[in-house]
Amino acid sequence: MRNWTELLLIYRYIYIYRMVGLSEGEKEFIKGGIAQDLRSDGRKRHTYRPIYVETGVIPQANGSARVRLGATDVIASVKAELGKPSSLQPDKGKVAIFVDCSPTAAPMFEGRGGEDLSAELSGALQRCLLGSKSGAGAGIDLSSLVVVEGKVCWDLYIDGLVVSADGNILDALGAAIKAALSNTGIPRVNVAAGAANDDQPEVDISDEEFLQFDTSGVPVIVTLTKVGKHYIVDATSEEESQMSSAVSISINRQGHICGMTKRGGLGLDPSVILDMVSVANFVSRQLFDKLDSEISAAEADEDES
Amino acid sequence: MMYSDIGRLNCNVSYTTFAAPVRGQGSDHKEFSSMLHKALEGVIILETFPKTTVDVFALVLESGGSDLPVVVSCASLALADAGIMMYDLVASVSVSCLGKNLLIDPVLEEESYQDGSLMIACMPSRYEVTQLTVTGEWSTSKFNEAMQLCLDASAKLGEIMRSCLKEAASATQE
Repeated sequence: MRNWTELLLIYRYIYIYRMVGLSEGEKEFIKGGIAQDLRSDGRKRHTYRPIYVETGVIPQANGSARVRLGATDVIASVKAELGKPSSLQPDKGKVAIFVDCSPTAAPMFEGRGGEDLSAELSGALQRCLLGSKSGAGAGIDLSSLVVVEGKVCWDLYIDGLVVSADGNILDALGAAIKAALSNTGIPRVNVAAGAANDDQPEVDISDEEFLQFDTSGVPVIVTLTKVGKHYIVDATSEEESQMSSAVSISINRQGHICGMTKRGGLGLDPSVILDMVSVANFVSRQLFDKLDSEISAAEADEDES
Repeated sequence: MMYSDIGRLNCNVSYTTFAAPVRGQGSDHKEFSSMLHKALEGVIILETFPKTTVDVFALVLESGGSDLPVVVSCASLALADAGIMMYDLVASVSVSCLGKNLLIDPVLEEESYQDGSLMIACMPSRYEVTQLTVTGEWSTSKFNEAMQLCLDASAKLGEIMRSCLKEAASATQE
């Protein structure tokens, strides 16, 4: 008898390649299940798959995390470098978000197929986490990144890598970035006193003292996928192939909307969008609690080892 | 290219080098192409032209704020003018939130100081939203207000676009 993991792998392989075209029966099965609030993996419409969080997976980075949502597997890393603030906003640091889709994550990412999706995901994450141009509503407090106003600030580079894709990549990336940020330690910087006013001040980066990053303001992203008349959270890629449209909403602890992106598909009635917002608000509270406990468990695990 | 039994839509938005106040700044609008694609794909009846690609090219000559909504509305007018089968026109409007105030159709200066923005592309006659993006922090009531404002404005814009097309059509007939 072959062992289980091997069998599961083969099954998965067949599944991925069949994914390109589901049969009529399978499509009906997915749609029918969603209509009856019992999806093909036994979940209800508004239930997430189990979330697994691992922090500190990349020692070279200032903070990193790996998040698994079913077969979706993403890694986020945060690197901090000293830079110069822009002249328009001298009292703020800079944050850049990039996403890369591994060509092995899904058959459609082979060659250059992942590039469009990467750009779309980066754009959506920037909208959801960085707030508007004036900096209001940003999940990351940019003014906490300033070392010397107008002269030195931290540049945060947040990189997301999609290792394996099985639907709902944006929510997983949002969760991974939140976990990576709470894992991030920014070195304490001592500024040499007495430098002339217009000179670039001399700085000394501490190897021992790290400042924890405040992540209480970082929102979570909830993507609602509309299949038939109903919408579901955390769609698998089979379910995503049957969607008519999807809306990604990022919501913070206070229940405020921090960003929203509609992802393709057909038109939506405005009343449906408002309803989606209230559903996302409800779901986000559970996701916050789940994620926070997973992150603190992962941090405790890391400290032990 | 692979065979497809429905039509394909290909969108491209680009900026002239002199469009923005600082030369060549327009290049940071890479995602506009995909946003335009999203706004239009739900409107065009792609089933009516299998094995065909429709290319939509938008060139922003001068950027003065609310660029994407203008590009979307303009593209839908061009598609209608080309005789491409569509369910409805797409009218797009954006609002900026500055402090407690909502500003409709913000200009570049207003956009650079905004605390939040909301952009909607909708089909006025069918009353459906095809594209929606939100940045910044919004309470639910504020979001409702802004969305209603956008929808009302795009209904008005839709009227203007419609009469514009009618005028153009009757002018060519004469």
